[in-house]
Amino acid sequence: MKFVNYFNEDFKTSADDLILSTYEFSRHGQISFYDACELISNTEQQFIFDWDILVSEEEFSKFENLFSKLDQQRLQAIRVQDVGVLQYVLDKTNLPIQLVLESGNRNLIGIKKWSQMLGDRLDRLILSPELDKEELKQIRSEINCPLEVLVFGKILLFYSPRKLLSPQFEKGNDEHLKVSGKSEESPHRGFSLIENSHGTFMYNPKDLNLIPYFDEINDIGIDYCRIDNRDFSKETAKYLEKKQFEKLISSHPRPLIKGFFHRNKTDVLFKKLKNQKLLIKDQSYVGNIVDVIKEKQIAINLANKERPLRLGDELILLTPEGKRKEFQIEKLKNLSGDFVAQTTDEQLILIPYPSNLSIKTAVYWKDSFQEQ
Amino acid sequence: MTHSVPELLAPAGSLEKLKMAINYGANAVYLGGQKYGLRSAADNFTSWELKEATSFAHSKGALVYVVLNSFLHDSDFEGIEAFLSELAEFNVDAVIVSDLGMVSLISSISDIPIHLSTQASCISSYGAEFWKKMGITRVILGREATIEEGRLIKEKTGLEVEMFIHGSMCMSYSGHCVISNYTQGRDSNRGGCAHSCRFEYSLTDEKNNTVNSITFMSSKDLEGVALIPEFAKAGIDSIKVEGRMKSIHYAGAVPKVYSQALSEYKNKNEIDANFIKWASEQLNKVSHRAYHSGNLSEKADEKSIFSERESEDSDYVIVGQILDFAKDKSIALQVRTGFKPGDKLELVRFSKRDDIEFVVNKITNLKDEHLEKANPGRVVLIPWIDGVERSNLIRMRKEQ
Repeated sequence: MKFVNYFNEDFKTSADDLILSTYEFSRHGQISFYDACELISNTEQQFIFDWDILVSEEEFSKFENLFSKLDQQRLQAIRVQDVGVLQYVLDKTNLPIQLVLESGNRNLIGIKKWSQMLGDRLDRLILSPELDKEELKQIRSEINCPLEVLVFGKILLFYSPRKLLSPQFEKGNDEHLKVSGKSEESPHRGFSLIENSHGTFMYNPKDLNLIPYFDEINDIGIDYCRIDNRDFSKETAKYLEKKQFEKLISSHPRPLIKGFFHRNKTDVLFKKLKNQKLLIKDQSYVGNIVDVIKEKQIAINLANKERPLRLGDELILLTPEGKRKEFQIEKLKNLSGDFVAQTTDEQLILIPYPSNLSIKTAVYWKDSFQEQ
Repeated sequence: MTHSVPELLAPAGSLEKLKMAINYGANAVYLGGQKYGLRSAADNFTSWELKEATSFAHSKGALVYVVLNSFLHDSDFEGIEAFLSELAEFNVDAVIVSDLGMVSLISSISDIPIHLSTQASCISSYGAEFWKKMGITRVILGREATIEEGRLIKEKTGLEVEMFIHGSMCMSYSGHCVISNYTQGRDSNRGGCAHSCRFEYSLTDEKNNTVNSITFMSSKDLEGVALIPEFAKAGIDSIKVEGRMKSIHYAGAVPKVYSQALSEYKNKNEIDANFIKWASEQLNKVSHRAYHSGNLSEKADEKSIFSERESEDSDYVIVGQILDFAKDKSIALQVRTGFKPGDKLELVRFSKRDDIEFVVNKITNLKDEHLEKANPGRVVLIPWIDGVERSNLIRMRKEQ
């Protein structure tokens, strides 16, 4: 298992790979593009060039021009996230590609397709922190290309191209604006926010820490672990250089979490967002009761245009609370007050009050109703 | 001479809303099944409803696109083959997808055209070119793209281009926001967005300046009626209204305005100030945040931020929907907002620009018994109005 850090001119690092993130091409750059060009020319060290911003049609030529000034031969690889940038790099360079799938692809079938589609040009896949360890194992077992995950550092919550902070504060000459945010409607506080030339970025109040799970990550077969050191203090950077991870963790100034590594359960609440009892809508569905006049009549809003409602039909009534009643139609009346043997063009049909029922009760034909 | 105009694509959060949108002028609708989409809390469609929806839409000459645009994990694919078979059987016109895995799967087992969701944040011709190679036939651009960028992308790639013209906006690049995942335990990219961007926050900068109670990341709503000529001239194929979770009023009234605007442009080759005034009045009748043109003309700036906590802002409320009628006698209205005899109501007509104002002078229940007022949740009868059609909406000005 190898380590990946970001280049920082103030700190030494013992990482196997160094990412060069520039103000111009990176969401959270560390040096200017021109300083990066000079660095690349004047050192033996090979870097991974980070181009993780998204680029619009209008701005693309500006970035193409700038990128053409880079001595690409001296780069280890390029790291991209925007599919447009990926296509540009495929078309216009021969660089090995490290594809960031942190926001986006979270399934094996897609990851396989990326891998197959990029072929020899693919140098590494950077997987999403939303994947849990079982998913990582599955991906590892079927993907040959080197895999990387973030193991320590800030968790990006959103990336907006809009300048959301500067309207709230007087901005100095420094283009970067750093702000701490607190929700006034939930217990969450300590969001870290950055505004720069690419827009606004908000990070989780708690940073990711998978260092205690290195053995598991290693056993899974993840090739590269990234420690995002871009906001490290000198002290923490020193611990990172010496790989003194326990000290690195204890000196870290922000709370730490393990994220979704053990299990991602962010879909379990979805069923609670809706009344599952109201979801049975199939060929047995007659419609809903939309009005009740107690002891007198109910009105059904007919939903099924293919099958008329007939005298003698046996119905099942399912209340919003899940109570079930059965009932046979003895009279049908349309809105004009005419008694009919079956519905034709009606939308609303009136039936004598069968029993204690409420509006929103769903009505089904008994002969085709299937228990769910 | 008439001028070519884009398709009007409207949201359908339920079968009822689908019929509303099409009756009020949408040329196409997009909807979700019970899984695979981004609106878990919307009613969404069962298989039977999907069949009904497609049959209804096609009978009216409208198209149906089904969203499968979640960022799916492997376990979320369960049942997808059967679902795709159903979509093919029902003759769904396209699916909307954001994930290469889903694109790959659909291409391998189905001929249904695939549209790339805005969730994929495609904002350049390079990006569109990539997706074209993957089998996409239409790209729904990221909401960060201008109309001019849409024109260039279409020109360079030959792909169909769809762009949002109306509705709620994410301030983040779509698919690049996971606030809900970490703060609410709900995956925003699998349908669980908790709209944390609409909350109030306090911010403190490095000099310790603090700003309290601000909605600094809440975007104003997109509104682009006046830009329809620009969309048409740019050759944009489809203009899209956001809002599968929105009300039935929105589901009908907003497509009506855009449908009328497209007809206006088609016939007159312009949209004049009088029309814009009418359209603006109509859109203000529907609940909305402050309107803004988003990124359509130029990149959204600080004026695109909605500086208020979520609040209902509309001039009108929906009174109800007409379920049925006894011709020349009475109309059965499913009541959403209470009203009483003497109130001035407005019947929102399907294909006519002008709506019908009337004073309701009598309300009875379905047993024809006199009522002092119509209560929400009930069905009441009101006297016949010429020009009424089933499913018409009725609304009234607030605070009469």
